[in-house]
Amino acid sequence: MLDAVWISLKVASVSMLVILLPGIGLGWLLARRRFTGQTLLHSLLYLPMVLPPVVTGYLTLLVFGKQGILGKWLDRYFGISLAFDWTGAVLVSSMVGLPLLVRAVKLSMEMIDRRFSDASAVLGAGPARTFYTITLPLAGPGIFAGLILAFARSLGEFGATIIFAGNIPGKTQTIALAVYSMIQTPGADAAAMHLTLVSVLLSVLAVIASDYLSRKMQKVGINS
Amino acid sequence: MKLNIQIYLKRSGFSLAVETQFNSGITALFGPSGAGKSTLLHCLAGLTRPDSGIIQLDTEILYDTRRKINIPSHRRKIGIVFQDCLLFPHLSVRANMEYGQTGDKQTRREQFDTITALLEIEPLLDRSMTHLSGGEKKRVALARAILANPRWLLLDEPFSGLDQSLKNQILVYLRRLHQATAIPMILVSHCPDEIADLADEVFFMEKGRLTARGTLTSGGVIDSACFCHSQDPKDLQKIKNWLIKNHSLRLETYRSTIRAV
Repeated sequence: MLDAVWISLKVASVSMLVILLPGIGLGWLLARRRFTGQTLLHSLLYLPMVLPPVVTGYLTLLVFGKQGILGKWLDRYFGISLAFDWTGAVLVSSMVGLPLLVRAVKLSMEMIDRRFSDASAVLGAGPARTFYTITLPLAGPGIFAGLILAFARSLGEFGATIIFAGNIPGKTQTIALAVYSMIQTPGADAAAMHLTLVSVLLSVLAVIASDYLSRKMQKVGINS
Repeated sequence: MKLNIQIYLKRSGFSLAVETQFNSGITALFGPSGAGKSTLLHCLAGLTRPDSGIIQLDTEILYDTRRKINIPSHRRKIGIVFQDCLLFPHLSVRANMEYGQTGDKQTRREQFDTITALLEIEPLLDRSMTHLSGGEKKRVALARAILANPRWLLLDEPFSGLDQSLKNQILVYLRRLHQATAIPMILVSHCPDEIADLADEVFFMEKGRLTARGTLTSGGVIDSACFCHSQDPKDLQKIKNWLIKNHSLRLETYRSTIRAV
């Protein structure tokens, strides 16, 4: 049972790290730049958020599975196999978590008065310095809020994970999958209840943290 | 120092066509809202890109459409004090002021201390932005802009939102700053009495055009010129008359060289 908690936390944390940089980059791109194909990128990114997770899992299997388009290639040249491994759970978690982060970054960067960048520029700061010292810190709480949402989403991930990573106890069985198995097993009700409580606790904490940070973000945004 | 400009810019329902020279000293830019004063300042600082034209500081070309030169804002060394200050809300007063500073540690420190003393900012240094009043914000924004060592300083409505006594206070600080640093300034304003004592030259602007220009002195020889035609002379005429009467403003007719865009 502890295995499941550990795997859940591991998968959620690693996928948070995986999506951090691409999430910030894509969010900035969507908020501050205008380019061709923007709408397409936007839709593709948000697809995992609206697709049934089982479908996401199946598509991932088609692409990254051992016989998949990319999976075959990864297996042959790098010996990497993501399917039915905890790294596979990280992959699907990242896919469903990324749109949440991108959205949070995009919204918080749109909330920042763009003229702060002007003010920074006339003080002699180039675009990179302006990004690191002005845009990023001002969007900071929003980015954290998005990360936490992605983390929570990963904890709750079920459909895509069971298709792509399977339900292997001690290896890919996360809290959600373990609860599912326990419900199917006669006499495991108490264990299921325990895990459920852990799950509720983690989710509540995540929502509170995300909420707190969003409010902090709004305060900063208004105060120009 | 001289700032030579030819700026042409067209937006929906608005066009800006300004061809003139700014001299070092303090230049006041008058005009009704929507006259294009802020847009002009933004063009000078590189925040807005004119459709065509030239911006030249002494011999250095900052912008030239024909030669495809456009020095970005952060390399122009032209400072702006924005109307709403735009102090960075996540930084302290001190960090805001240090943001644009360059040079070695010793120089930075000396300059910081000088400006802090000049504008009497010491008691504010470790405060956060949320705990500053309107007048204090203006002072900090002024200090921040000056500490970046600009070659020219543009002030967009530096007195807006301040009551009379605060206006006078900022006026005193501005005069002190100009005496201490000799940085040329362009100052956008609505009210003539605010800058009558401060400015060396006055430019009048209406509907995206410079309509008149004159030199203010408390006496002595006046070198002045008047640009093209004024389109809506009512309010500006009052200001002009006031300045002529009380501050020996002298305007002369001047044949415009501005072409239509």
